[in-house]
Amino acid sequence: MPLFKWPMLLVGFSLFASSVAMAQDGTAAKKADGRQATIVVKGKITDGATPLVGANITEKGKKNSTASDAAGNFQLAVAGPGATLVVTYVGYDSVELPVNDRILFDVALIPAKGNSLSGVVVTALGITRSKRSLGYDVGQVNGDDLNRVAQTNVLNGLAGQVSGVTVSATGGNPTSSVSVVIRGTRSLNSDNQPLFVIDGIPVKNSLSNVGVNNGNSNDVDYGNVISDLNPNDIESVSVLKGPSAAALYGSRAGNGVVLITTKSGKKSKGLGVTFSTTNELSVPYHYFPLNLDYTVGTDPYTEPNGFNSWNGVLVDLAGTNTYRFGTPLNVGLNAIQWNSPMDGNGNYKALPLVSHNNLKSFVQTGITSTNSVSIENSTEKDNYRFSFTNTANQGIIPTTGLSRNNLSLNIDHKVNDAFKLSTVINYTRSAADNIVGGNDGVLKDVAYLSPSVDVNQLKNYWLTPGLQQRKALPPVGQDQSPGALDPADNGDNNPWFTLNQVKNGFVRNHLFGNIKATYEFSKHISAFARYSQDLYYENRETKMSKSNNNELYGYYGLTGINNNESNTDFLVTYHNKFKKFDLSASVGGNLQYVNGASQQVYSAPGGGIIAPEFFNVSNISQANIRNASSSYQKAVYSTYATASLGYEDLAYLDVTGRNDWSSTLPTGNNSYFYPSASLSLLLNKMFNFGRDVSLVKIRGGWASVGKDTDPYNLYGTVGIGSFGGVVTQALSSTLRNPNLKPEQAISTELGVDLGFYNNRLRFTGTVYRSDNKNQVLSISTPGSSGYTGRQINAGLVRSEGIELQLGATIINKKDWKWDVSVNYTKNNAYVMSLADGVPYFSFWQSGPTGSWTYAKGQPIPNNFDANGKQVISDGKLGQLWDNEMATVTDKNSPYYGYPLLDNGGGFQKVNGGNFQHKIVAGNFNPKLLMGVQTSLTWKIFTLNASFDMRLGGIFYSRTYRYMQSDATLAKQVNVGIPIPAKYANNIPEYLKSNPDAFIKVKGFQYFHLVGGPNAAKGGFNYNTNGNIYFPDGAFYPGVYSDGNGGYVENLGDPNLTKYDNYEDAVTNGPWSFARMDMFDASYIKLRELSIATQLPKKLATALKLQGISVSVYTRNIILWTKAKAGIDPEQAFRYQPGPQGNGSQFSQGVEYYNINPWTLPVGIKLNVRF
Amino acid sequence: MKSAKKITAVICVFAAILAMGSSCKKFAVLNSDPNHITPSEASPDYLLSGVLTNSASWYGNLGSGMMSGNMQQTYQDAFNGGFSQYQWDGMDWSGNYATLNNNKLLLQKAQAYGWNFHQGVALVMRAFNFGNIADYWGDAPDSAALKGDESGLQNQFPAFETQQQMYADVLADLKAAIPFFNGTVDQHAEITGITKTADVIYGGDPTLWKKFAYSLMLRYYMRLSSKMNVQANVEAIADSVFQATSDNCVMMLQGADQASSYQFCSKFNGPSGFNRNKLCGTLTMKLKALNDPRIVIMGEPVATPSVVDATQFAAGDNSTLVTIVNNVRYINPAAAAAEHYKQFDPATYSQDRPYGAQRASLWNLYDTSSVYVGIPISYDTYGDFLYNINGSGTQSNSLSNYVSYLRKDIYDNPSGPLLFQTLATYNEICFDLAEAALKGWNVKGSAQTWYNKGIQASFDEWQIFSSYQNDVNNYFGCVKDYSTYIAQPSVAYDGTLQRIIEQKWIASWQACNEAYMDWRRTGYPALTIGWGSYRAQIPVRFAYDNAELQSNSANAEVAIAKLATTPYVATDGSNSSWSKFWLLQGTNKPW
Repeated sequence: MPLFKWPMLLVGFSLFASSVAMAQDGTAAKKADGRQATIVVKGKITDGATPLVGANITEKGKKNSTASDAAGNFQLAVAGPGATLVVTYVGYDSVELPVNDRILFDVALIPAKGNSLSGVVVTALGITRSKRSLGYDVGQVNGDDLNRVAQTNVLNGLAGQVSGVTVSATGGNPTSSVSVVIRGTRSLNSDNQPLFVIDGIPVKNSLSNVGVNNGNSNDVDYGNVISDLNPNDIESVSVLKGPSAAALYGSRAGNGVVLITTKSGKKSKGLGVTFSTTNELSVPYHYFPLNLDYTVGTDPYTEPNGFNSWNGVLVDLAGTNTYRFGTPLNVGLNAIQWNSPMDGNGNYKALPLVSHNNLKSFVQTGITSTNSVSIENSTEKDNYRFSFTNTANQGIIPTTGLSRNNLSLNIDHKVNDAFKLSTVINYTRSAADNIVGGNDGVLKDVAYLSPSVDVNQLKNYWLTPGLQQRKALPPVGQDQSPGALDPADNGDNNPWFTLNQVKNGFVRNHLFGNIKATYEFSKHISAFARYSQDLYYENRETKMSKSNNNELYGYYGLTGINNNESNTDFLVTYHNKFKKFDLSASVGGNLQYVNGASQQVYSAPGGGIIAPEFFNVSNISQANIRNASSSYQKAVYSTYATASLGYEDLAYLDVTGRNDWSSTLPTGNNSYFYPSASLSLLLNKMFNFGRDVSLVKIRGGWASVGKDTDPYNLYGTVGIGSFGGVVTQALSSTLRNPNLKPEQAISTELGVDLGFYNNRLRFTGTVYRSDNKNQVLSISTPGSSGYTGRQINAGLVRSEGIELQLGATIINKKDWKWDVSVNYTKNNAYVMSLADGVPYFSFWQSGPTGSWTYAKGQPIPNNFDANGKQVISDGKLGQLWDNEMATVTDKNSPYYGYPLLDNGGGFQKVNGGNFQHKIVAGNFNPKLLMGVQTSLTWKIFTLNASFDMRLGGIFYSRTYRYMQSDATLAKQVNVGIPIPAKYANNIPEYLKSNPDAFIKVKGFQYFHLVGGPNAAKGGFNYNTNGNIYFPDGAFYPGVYSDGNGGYVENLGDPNLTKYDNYEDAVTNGPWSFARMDMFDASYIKLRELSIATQLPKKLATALKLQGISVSVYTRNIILWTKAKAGIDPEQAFRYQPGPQGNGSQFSQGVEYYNINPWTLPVGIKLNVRF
Repeated sequence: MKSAKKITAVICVFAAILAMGSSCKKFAVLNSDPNHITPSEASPDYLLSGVLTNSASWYGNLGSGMMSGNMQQTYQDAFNGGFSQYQWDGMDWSGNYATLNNNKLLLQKAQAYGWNFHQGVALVMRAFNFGNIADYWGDAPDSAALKGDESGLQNQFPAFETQQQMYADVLADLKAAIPFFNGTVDQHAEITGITKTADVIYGGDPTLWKKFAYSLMLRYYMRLSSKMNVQANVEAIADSVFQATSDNCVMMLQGADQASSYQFCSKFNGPSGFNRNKLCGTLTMKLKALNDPRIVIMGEPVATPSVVDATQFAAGDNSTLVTIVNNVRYINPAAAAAEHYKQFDPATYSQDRPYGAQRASLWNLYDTSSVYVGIPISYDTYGDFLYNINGSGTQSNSLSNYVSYLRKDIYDNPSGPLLFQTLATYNEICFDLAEAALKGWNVKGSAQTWYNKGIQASFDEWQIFSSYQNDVNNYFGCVKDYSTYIAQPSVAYDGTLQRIIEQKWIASWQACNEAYMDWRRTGYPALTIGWGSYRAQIPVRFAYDNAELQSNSANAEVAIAKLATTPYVATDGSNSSWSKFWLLQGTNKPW
């Protein structure tokens, strides 16, 4: 086995430095016992902060060894000053330390690179545990791994790093919300986001950050609050995936917990100052494919005619239409255009009609600059770290960006050996001048601008400053009657106007921190008390100038939001060793109090502001001013206990129990208890697998977790409204439930951890199942019952899956080290049952499609398999549905399977597309997720790469649906089936020669069409407007009813075929069928690629520095999408101000105008320690 | 000692930290909703205003919107599938039931408080809303409805009542309401200033409510007249119904925001909604034929009138279709013929643009007959805005110089003297009584008398011979006074039901709900459809909507099974807008 040698020791410079420093302290105690030939050395093994229990300390080349105790202390007799200590600990790089004259060793081990298999992890309540002792899987990410590349939202850095964790950016803006889902959907009534706990402080996070009352067509996602966290301050992240791991966090941990530990002060030589700067350019390189071949217009160009001319001169209809089948561009034609100058005779000059890719010319290179300075040190008594970070981001859309300042302070003070006080304080101010609206944002304006217009020539966007924006409109009416078009009534918004005069800004001041006192009563008993607070105030301001198409008279709105959560907790821990047993037990309690409020003042829809360009509440008339306010509060009181029993480092049993009392549940039924247990067995300590096997661990966990609900879900309410000036009152349309019970999730997980060749080959596998019962669900009820929704306690949602992680240190030599880690995730969630009479649960519905799931065992109405048997639902979540297309269903007909067209030759929906007749088009959940991380080190250079792959699943593109209906898509230029010349007069024969390819429809984007926008592209001569025949006829292949039970072929026979013009056929045809706009969501992304180097110490010393490192990186590059739709499948989320079926503002599996260009970021990072 | 001190200090620190968590709060206090009031705190007056405004808005917007298009009075020339092309999808009734649910709370509270007026209004509005549901959808939850807050599956998933029983319940509620309106305002202590403001229809006047209750009874007796004998019922109440247009049941629009404004005004939603909504050729041609002055308050004259005139074009030029001189557009008859254009004539319309024909065989139509031009019904599936050789129209702006918009100074406003939501009118009553008299029933007047009164009432409602007399005088295409109008052979009562219903149809301008019900019951006015129609006939009901089908499918299926399908249901299945429910089954009406 020459490849697998004893691992090279790689000790970081900082550790090396600190060891040297400690060695000097240690010499002070030497010769305490000089008489003996052997000397006893003592010391403490830590990971830099926390003691490591059970680390192995041996004398090199001898058999004497010992293990560190619960406090990390050890004592070992060695041969003498010439001896060398070898300290090993699973998951950490081993250290060899020459004894020399020292007897006191404080050793801080560094985690092994790329090794998340073993080691020490932070678990619930911040308890540090050796990973091998755990009966459940905990995902881990080092701060270094999060910081190699800059992320404006730290959650993006988790993408692909941990099996079982799905990270999705919901949009392309730096402020877009990022969704983190652990082990798939478990709850039908929430956004499934995990609980975030930073240094013991639960921090609010949700996906519902979309502004309401923000003005017409201006839905804005202000981003998740967790994005305030500064990645530079993160020491490590633990992901507690299953309820067994998270049980101690109680009800909120049902979707898992992300535990973040921030950096604390480390022993420093010199000033202890670290400066770090990261600068990144984001270069757009891939643009949504638009139809750039034609200017706008409904009719194809032949000659100047009454519809597009002025005095016989062609006029470009830009701004008067959205349809994109007007005059062809780039073919040498000239036309009077919006910016045509006048000649001496008062006639407008015709200018060349050329095409512009406005999406490309509109965006800019994004710049992100992150500068950070930290000061830290650690002494016997005190330990501190202070950091300041400024992040300045300029988005690829002009005027957008994010600026953020983080201050973070971490202090530990030892009053004496037993008593320690510590505090963490984190303050963030995040702000953006402009967040572009999502569903009708500025890029939509750009995409809809006629390609004959150069967007950059519209930069001077005021026609009448403050009152009327300039639009690209023809200077002469395109009709026979002269007169300029009024921009107040015509034309899309000028994108520059939207950008500069429709502004959504926000400022968020976010403070979280804690104060903690720890006291060691004795060697065995310690306790802490802690108070923590998470508090933020967010102010949003939206301004719209007059003449905005969506708010003609302007708009002004202010929103203030504040949220506060405080937690007071204590924990008493007992720890002792009884011969072969090691017991650790804790009891604790927590008081959680949450409250928040929001206030809004805004102008009524369409009401507008009085004076132009003056944005102040006083500038809204009394009749048009609107106000709203709301507040909430809740409290949860908890007690809990946990015990961990270890036997000889080969078996560990953990049990926990927690009881919560929640204010949101009915009095008398507001208490719920939940236990958990887990077991870890280290088989390699029980059996001899040979020396190549370093770890064989099997583990299992079981947990039951309760969950409360949101405040005020118990009793029905009456809302106060108005009709004009008349006060009205109305019952809420949702029925509450005064008898709500706590939800219950019961989960089990089983896993195995293996290590070979001294852990150079590592494997972790977990299977899990979580049964979520009694969910508090909002279900739809028949409107005729008086209510459209109801809160019920019902159902069983089962989430199950498998997670595998394989890691290998392939090369481990002095100058070379190569690590590879692969993770695999597969999760399925099922609705096993719902309430009586409720066969399905609906998440969202949109146009012809939607996502709903029939509970397992429910017959799916009007769906039959090949044998005519009713389809029974398997309950799988995430289905997307579609209308069924009417086809010939008579198997004996020669036309079996052909589309059955309507009277006009168009496709028909079966049963009008009603809910009972929909069919499943696919599922938005992936078939599998894989991540690959690799790290290659050569001397002082390290290359890191991270890939993320998703296979399977689909998404529905509303972008395609709407753009298709306006002929804006590139592909619409030519979708007709080409007819070979020899069949020109017998098209039916040609089509029938291959019905599967030319007539029958299946799959996505599937509709067939014969014809084209002009003769060259196969258009038929067709009477469009009565007076003009254009060669733009087209038809859908199929048959239509002859009225007597027979069929007439619509296959190209000119006497039988129902033609339409190509422009309409290619736009209207797909409207009723979602599959026309559905895509496979598979993709491969390069999440991260970086090359880093730690400059030689000699060089650093010459510069009077402690260390200096430089790295160059790129990130988040879409390498491949199966759909090739020009849309990032990861962003298949649509947000709306109103809650969707699951209570979140995001619908999953559907996207709307996520047409941000794809970018190629290039960044450089410099880190200097003074 | 020292150690004790230390412990004390430690305990103090611990205690101080734990004290920051503040004391325990009472859960009940924490969980009482600070953002809403409870049903027990709701006020009958404000519930009443909510019920009235919701009912009037739904019914009124339907009458001036979709039903107006359906009855071919107005036309939407873009995004018009459900409006002018008869492509009806299922209609959601959850808003109607929400109104009824609030009405239920209103009734409960009024009963508990012993407030007569509120009880009476609640009963009338219950009848009105359930009546609408029976009229448009057919069988629907009624006695089993509105019990979602009670336990039991039968309450959560209400069974459907038969349409016949629903009508019986409507009439029973109206009868039950009458006694609560006895006496004058002053005899009703429960009618306070707040009540008068809340009653956005009659300002708290019980006598008007009583007339409205009787008028609705008359409406429903006439509705049922083809299925049962209602002569005695009608004769019994003929005296108690509306007596004058001042009794009309209308809610004036307030214009404060979109919800309280005329639905198509551009102020709150931009110009597209107003611009798309134009006159329909069926109505304009009828009004022209009758020299009807009411057209002046309905439409806007076209911006550029059109004239067919060969002399404006060079001899032999058969390719230049139009030319504009001095804001008059001249159409070249030779080019028009060459390019397959002809003058719109309602009599030949269904041959010129027959439903189901291939587009290439269609005649394209223009209309030079008047300055008021409407678009022929279901003219096209897409390019209606091009009608009348309009070059400026596009789907996105629907602008046209050659077709009539609704009259801008009236209808492009959030509110105005002619902008109201109509629930029932005196003219409807007059025409109902004319029909009853025609059947030989004793309704204190002849058919002719009531017919003439109905027309008079309509003129009064629209202020034709008062506020708009000048416009009437300035429009060459109409008569200038009532007596001339009524004397015309095309108008004068001729003893036919068709004539009564035709005039009732014209009088239902901007409130076409009853026109639709009458057409469905009688087949009048005789309406044709056009090439762009979704199906070969005008639909006869609202299909049950997905929302109900999804969540109450078992009960809905029972009702759906009772619908009689027709050849026009095509791929819809039974729950089609072209299926006939009980009211139409066996009547052979309207088609």
